[in-house]
Amino acid sequence: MKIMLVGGHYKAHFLAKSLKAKHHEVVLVNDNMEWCKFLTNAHDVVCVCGDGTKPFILEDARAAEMDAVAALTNKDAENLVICKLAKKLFHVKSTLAIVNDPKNLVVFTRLGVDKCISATEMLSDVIESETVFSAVHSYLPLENGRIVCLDLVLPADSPVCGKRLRELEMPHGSIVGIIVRGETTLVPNGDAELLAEDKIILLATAQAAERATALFGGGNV
Amino acid sequence: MSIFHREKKEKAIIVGCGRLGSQLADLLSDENQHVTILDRDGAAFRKLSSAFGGLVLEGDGSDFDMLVEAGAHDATILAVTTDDDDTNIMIGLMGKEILHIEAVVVRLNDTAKKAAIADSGIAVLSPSTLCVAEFQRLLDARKGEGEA
Repeated sequence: MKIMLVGGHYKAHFLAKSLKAKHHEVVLVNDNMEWCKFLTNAHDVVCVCGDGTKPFILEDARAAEMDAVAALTNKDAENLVICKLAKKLFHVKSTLAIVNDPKNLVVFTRLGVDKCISATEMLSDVIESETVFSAVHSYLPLENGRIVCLDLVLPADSPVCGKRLRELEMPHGSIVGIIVRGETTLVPNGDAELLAEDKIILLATAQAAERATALFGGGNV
Repeated sequence: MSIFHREKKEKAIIVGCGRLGSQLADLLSDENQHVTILDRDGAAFRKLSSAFGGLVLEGDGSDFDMLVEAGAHDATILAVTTDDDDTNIMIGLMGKEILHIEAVVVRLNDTAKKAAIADSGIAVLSPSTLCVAEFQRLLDARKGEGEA
């Protein structure tokens, strides 16, 4: 794929490295001359020096030939303008913007940016998964955090050990997707019995996640 | 501008209380329209005339919640006049495409950026383009005098 990275100091540096390693063609746009020189030498890529929110700079960087454009600057408004120009002027198929204010995830998506990423939101998701759900091993937010997929291991003292799934009062908006028992994986029905050390893959809405985790004796709520 | 002269009472939101924003706010206020003006810097409101009869709101107009707080849901006019083109484009797009405000006008110093809001129904005010037109008019008037 041909990918353009606009702005972003270290983000551009490390992304370029990772994308080149995966054999993508990378073009960079950066407004800092010294950093442009460094990036060009470090990654053997074309780096256009200038303000990526200006159409002529994007044209110099051959935006029309790109499969994807990623806007990585520190300003949300700049990233929106870069993505809109890429779409409207250069008909780039896929645009991606980094946003600082998590609110802009929804706003930018509605304004036609294909994919938005919020570092703030990701950080808060990770912090939550570390502190709120102690027995939870991994925690995957989906649909901008409206849905979560998490796995937890049933402690031996869990009140649900020995019970069948149908006997549990699962909170509305949560479901046990898979039970992993040793080497076997089962997609359970209501008759499935829960045993200590079972690994439960739970799918829930953000509101129900905490109560569902507590039900299995996994949360410190 | 014609969009500002209508029979019914308009509800206008102006983002950015600079020289342009404050004059626009004073004008609409003099015409008895409902005006709310936003600026990140509370000190900027000093530019408004003492007769200004609208509301002032200190806050970031590129924050969607702030636009809603300013009454964007039932506004009929949104004029965006901050000093940053990218911010103006972002606010203009939010006003037009998400909040569906009837008349949206944004000031762009760099006319090339107009492409970012092409076909969106947002009107663009470009100081340099306006100045060139006026300059041309002045030159033509001078030529006219010479011939007469």
